[in-house]
Amino acid sequence: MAVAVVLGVPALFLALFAYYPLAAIIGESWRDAPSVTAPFVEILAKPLVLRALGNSALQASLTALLVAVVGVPAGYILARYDFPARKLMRVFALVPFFLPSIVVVVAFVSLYGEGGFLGRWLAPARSLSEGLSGILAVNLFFNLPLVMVLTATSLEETDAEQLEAAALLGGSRWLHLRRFVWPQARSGVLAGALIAFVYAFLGYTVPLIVGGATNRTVEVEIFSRFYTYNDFAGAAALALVQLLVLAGLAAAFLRWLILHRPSGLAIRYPPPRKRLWAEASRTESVVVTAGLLLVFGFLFLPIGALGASAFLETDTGALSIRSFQILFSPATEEVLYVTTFQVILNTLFFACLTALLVVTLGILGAWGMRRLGPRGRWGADALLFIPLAISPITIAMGLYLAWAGRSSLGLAVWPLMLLAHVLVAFPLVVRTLVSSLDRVPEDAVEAAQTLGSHAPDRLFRVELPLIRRGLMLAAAVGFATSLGEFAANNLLYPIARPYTTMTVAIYRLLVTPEMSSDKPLREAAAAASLLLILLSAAVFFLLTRLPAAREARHGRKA
Amino acid sequence: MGGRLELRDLFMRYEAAPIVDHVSLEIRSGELLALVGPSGSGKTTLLKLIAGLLRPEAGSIWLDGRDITDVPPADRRIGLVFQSLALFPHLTVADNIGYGLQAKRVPKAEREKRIAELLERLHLDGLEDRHPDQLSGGQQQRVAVARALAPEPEVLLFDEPLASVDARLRDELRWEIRTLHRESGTTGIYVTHDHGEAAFLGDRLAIMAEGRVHQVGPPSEVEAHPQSAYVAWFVGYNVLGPLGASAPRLPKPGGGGQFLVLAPPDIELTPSGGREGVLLGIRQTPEGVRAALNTPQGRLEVALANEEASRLAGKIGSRVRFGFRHALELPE
Repeated sequence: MAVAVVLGVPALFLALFAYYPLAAIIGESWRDAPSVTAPFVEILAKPLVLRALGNSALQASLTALLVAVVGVPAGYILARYDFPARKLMRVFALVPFFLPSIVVVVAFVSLYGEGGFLGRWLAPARSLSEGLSGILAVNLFFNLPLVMVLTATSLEETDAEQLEAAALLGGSRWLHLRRFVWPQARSGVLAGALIAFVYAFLGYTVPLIVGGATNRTVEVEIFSRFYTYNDFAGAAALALVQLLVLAGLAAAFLRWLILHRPSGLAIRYPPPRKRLWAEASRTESVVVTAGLLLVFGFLFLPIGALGASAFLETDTGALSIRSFQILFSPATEEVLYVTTFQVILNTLFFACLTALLVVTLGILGAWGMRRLGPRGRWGADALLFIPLAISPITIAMGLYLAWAGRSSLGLAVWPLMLLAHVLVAFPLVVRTLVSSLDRVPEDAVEAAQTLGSHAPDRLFRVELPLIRRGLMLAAAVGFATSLGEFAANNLLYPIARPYTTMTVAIYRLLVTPEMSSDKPLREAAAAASLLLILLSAAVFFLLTRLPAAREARHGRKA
Repeated sequence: MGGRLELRDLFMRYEAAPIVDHVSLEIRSGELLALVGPSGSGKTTLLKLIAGLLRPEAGSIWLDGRDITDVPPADRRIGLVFQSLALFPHLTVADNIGYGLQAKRVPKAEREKRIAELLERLHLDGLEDRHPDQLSGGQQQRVAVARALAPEPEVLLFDEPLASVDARLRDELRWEIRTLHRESGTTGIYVTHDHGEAAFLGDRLAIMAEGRVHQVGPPSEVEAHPQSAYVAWFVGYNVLGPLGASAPRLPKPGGGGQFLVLAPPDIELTPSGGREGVLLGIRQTPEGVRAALNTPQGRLEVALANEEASRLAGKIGSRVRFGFRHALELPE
């Protein structure tokens, strides 16, 4: 009974703002259709649409392949070699994962672009910031860290004695890799490659800015049908096609995960690491060092370039804070129609509200799910996680069609943006909170029960305080998601100018033609990107470090 | 005075196997009943049924003549000291103890008075602002007991709270629990697998195995008059049998047949004895010197007089003959 009430709130939320909008999309695509299949036949007959589907599939497959080919050796190095600053590198390897996509695009342009630090001197380097190769480079940037760390983690979950036994039994290095390393790494690599595939298939920001007219993905095509041509029916039909492709993939992946559950053998000794130069041979050390430099150079040089370009004048090369002056000048306001301060305020407003809302809904969802039986939990899992397969563009379009647009229910635009952010962050936040709650010892909850404590009292006094870290992480995820959200904001931009956020502002600054040569807007875009990075880093640090620091002050263990 | 608890025909299964198999038991107001049995005998499950953390498949639980089978644990007024202690790691000692009072919305002044009183009674003064992981094992035990006592439950359940404490401290804490129980007058059930601990703490013992209660009574009575071979074996008798069988086997309920039950002092080592065994060794126990014999029907503990012990010291590993003065024949 109590469980029904608790789960009812997030369920109602999803029903109103995820499933009803989805129904609105379906309704839109069939509005004037003569038959059930007609809208699909019609949309799939368009050469541009077919091309977009082909582009999405191509970019997704190449990204997945590239990520696996680069990520597996990199993960192997992280797992099996010891070198200075290894742990630090491993933590920092996750940073790109939390960066807003548009910021990374700006970073790549400022390093490899025509006027970039490398691209200016080295013409071939420009391919990393434009066209298909540029898209693949940025996709690799985003997904490499994940595959690398997943591979390293699954390799570390091998017992050292197993490795020793294998060594004693002899066999070539190739046999060792094929029979030992690959089976261990397989699940991590495939999970990472699939995430990269979905990421690239749903690609929006990167193909929109880097790809040019020939590399438009499905997501970009939906966007332009909706935004530029107001072809709502076509956009809706295409969104459904995309959703079906992704749902099929997700189902296949879940099936595979269930079939290939890793064995539960206990790890007594983690496998040893070879110290570079000392224990590894010289050739081995040279190769590994070169690989490390390449990977971390690839991950961190663009961010460095972004930082540098915010403080260097493009034309003179002089050190200055001109970019920030431009960012807060009337010239920028002319482009954005709102002041930059307003943009920052908007961004923080959405991010704070998203964090608050998504954590509240997430707690209710996670807490309720824990009290369901295995079957109920499976169902709730599916219901709560379907939004994960809905792309941000689809979410924003559905919200618009259902709650604004032709609907008489007419919500203002800022709640639509907020809801879109919450929906994008929701699946990950619930997952984070469910796994935190699963780690709360059952007997602590039982103890509270025998002490006369009822459910709500228990939640606030035992369970939530015990998952403080998980709560903070969930809030950080919600905050960062909203901060970096671009696709949904950009789709709603025509009706949401007063609510412009940082990501959209950066995009406007990038695509608006320079009005006068003494006010280079690209510099302002770099400055805004740097601000956004610092903002998300500060909040992430505060939310994830504060509880740890507080506990350290109490002199207590984790 | 604490409540009178009555269990009527409780039944509970895990997968197909019964873990609490039609248990009926009455716990008198204010007494401390020691529930003793080997691990896996269903003791903890029975406690969780009483606390309301599990629901029985059949049967009912009555407190002071009121059926509480369907009352949620938070409303039962039954406290539980967990085997793992289950202290709240994020709360201070004082907040741990005060948790149940706060749940009952006891006013702050009264709550603080009660906490201070419990801190003093359990020798925890000065530790109220510490967190559980800053306490020693013994201090943690005391906090767990104080926390369970604070809301003044009608019945207090102990689930082997001393299982992970070293021997010296365990002895000390046993005394404290016994004294505390006498002073508070609460009805108590103390679960343990240690017969000595049960006999020390319990006003009465309930011997449990395979989900069933085999015998209930004061420790001295259970020891003097075991009603089954199983209980006899559990309280320290030698059990041989089934009668006539030659293979040594421990009695396991459900096997059936008659068993020969011998108290260690009732066996004598004499060349005229009718049976033969191999002398395994001699050791000192709190009850006196004991010899261990390997016989075709099982291993026997024999009580020895001191002079007998020195005479036998050289015979370890050789065959000796024995007989018995007195034996019981009991069903499984």
